[in-house]
Amino acid sequence: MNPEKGLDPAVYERLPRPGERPEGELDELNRIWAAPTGIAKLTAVNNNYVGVWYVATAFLFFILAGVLALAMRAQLALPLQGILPQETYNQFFTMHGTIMMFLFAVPIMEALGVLLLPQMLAARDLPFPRLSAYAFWAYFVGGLCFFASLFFGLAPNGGWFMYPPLTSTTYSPGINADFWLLGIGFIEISAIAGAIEIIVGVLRTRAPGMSLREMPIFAWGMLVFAGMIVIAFPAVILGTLLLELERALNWPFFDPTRGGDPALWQHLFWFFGHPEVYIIFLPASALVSMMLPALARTRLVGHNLIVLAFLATGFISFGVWSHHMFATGMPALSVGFFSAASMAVSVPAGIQVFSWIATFACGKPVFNTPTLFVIGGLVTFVIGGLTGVMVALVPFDWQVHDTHFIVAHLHYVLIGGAVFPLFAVFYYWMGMTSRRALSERMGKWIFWLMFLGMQVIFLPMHLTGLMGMPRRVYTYMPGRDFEITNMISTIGAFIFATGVLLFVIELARNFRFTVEDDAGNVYKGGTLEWLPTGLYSTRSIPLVRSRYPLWDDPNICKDVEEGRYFLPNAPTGHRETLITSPIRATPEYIQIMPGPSLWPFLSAIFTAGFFVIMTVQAYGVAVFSGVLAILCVLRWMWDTDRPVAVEHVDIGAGIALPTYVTGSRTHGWWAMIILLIVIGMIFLMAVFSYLYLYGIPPEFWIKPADRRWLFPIVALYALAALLAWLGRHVLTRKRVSTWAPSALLLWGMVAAAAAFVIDFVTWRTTRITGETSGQGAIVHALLALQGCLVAILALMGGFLAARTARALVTKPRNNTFDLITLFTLYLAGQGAASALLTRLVPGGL
Amino acid sequence: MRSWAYLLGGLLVWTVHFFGLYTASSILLTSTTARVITALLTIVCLAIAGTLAARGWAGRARAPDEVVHWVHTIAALSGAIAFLAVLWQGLPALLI
Repeated sequence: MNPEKGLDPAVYERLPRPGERPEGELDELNRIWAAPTGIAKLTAVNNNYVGVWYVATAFLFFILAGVLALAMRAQLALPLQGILPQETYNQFFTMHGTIMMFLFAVPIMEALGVLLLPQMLAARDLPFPRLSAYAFWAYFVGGLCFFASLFFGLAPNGGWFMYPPLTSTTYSPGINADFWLLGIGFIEISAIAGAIEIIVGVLRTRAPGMSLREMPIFAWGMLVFAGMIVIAFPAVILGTLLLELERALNWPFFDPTRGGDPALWQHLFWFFGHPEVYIIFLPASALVSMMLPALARTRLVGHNLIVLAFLATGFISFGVWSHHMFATGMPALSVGFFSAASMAVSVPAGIQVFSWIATFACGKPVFNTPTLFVIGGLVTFVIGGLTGVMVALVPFDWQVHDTHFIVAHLHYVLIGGAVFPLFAVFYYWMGMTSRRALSERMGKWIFWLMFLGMQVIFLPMHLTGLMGMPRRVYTYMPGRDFEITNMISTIGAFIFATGVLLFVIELARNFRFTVEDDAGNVYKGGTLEWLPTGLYSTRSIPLVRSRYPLWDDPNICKDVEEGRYFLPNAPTGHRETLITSPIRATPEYIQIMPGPSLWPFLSAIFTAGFFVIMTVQAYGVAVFSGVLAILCVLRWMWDTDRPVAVEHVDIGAGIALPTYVTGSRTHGWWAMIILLIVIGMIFLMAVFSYLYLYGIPPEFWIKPADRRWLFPIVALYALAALLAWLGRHVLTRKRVSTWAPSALLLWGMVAAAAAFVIDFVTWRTTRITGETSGQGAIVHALLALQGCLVAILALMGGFLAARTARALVTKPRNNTFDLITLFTLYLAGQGAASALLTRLVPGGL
Repeated sequence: MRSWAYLLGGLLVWTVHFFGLYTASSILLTSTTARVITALLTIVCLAIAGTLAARGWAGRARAPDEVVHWVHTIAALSGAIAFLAVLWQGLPALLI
């Protein structure tokens, strides 16, 4: 077991290099990495700008959703209040939950990743800066439009988990539910884009020497966070697609009278929904683990155990989804397994909590504002964790299911586990993006108001729930003993809100965005984000030898700033960063990075437009917006994958690296593999749905389409895969023109399309339609998924042909060609698997 | 990829065990067959997780450098936590 041999350690001994760097290098770096000015700043892709915009937007949504919560608490302060009518109350609690979960909690973690990770890893930027910009703008525009639905009374009203049959057209006939189902489409895309960026960024752009052992704990947290998004989000993507298809086309996935099952939605939703809690908690706890050493003035106790806890949480949290469904009547043994897993998942969280306590105990903590928020968060989270273990016990869960006890529990977990740590983050890292630090005195006021307010709201709410008050009910009758605890909770809400308001005032007083003359390392952290930086990130990329480089090497800031480490210049004349190996962080090649561009911005606007306009059923305009989005993406892609004139560059210490690399080592290949895992997970969830519907009401299932067609379908998909593989092989041959491999790949695409057409047409000749039954609906959903992939492949085919015609497909290897080949191979595999499943089950096996 | 599979081996064993149990109890409901499958799968997974933990721990002594030592440590801890989690996960079959 010796992963990645790595470079000779003697090479690293040459660093830092003595002597002065040539004049003009720094000016050149500044010129190349400069952000656009004026209105063109909207096209900036530097992580400093996009990260701050992203954080600010997420915080805006936190405020907006908080205002909705205040209105709800005012309504519940007294029995039979008339502040919010029932329908408005329904919309408010739905939007509060949806915004907090989808528009605040997940995006702010991704935003902090975009903002902090390049600095912590000493990369010039994350590997796909335009993708970050795209993710941000789609989220910004789509999120604001989604929120605006409240002003027209069109906001969703079925609760943040949108259970059918309540959200079916029978009980939710308007377009409110569609706003949720389509409105979070852009959030799903944005989250997936961010996750790809973060995984590749953490694994491939770390500073040389920063092996997995030295990797900052926040990078670990974000790696597991992004991995969980890749596995969890496809379930909700599929779920929202199915529910929207049921509403729009009357395909009965969740209608038990026609062979559907509403519990399927719950499985799909909670397979995403419960890991979502850890998706939010893990980065926040990682940030706590980053801050603690500086706040307690000692090294983190149990670093390896915390890494293990992250990994264990990432796995075990996928075994707890059905604890939200204890009341649905699952088999007793299944219930037992989920109950056990729900208790087990508290162990990794406990490891982290004890590590933090030990770190405080071993150090000499200073009780400044971030420390207070960290401790306040820890106390609050532990209380929420303990009530979590209580509701993991099935008999107790049955008692408090859908009561205010659950509301109190989840807020303890989320506010303690994420919101308080985030406020600590704002204080701790403000010095990195602002000319002035925030006021400590005001900070302590803010903390105590928020902490006390939090306890006053939610501690009595446990009692309200135990007394039997159901959640999501807009009022209650007098004389039920709910009055006192509800009034206390409402008072607490306004205390909490006062703290948040003071924080907003504090931001207005002291936050002054800057990249270069920032307030700096106020709390004396020891990790790389506190190196001197500009828009190019660090002047030179340091060699990392420990987990706290700034503490262990007092000269590192000076040496980095004077260009004595790797890549102190821009040898290709373009934006560039080092790509390193995933385990040992050995330098492998130079990535040429894209600069500012209008196309990601426009792509995002039109993507958000597609989803939002679709909601209001202006289908023609929505499709037009979608087409424009696709054209903008293609235009954006057109500029990528172009070798530069300089083939190799010296990055320092005598290491020369290539500037153009292809194959499985490249960051593009990694990104495509992750994307294919996302698509594969969507397909896997569809297969689960298929088998689930077959297992629950099998009497609705009839003989599938003619199985004799299986042979040509599978054979054509196999041919497609073979031609794609052959095309890539032929590209390496010297005597062959570029058109030959492209033609092979294009013929492969034609074969795949033919296979799909045969599959589709032969199903259409049966009497099974999407509306007939659950079987018809899920078969057509699988066909629709495959159809989407075939349509994307057709676009790729056109793109490849155009690039071949313009001689942009390089020989003997080419990244565009590689990635399209990968996609074709995957599509062929999925298509064959789908055909086999739908024709052999039921009755064929 | 081999390094990652080794690093996460214990947790992958837990995953296979959990979804195996879920599948068995979903198809066979709360039956004797489901209990027997649970017991068998649990014993097999315990053996694998235990082996991974022991192998990781032993590998630490032979590690040529700090990075390999760290990989063995995490693999051993991953196997150990998986051993406990698998054991815990299998218990409901005896209790329900």
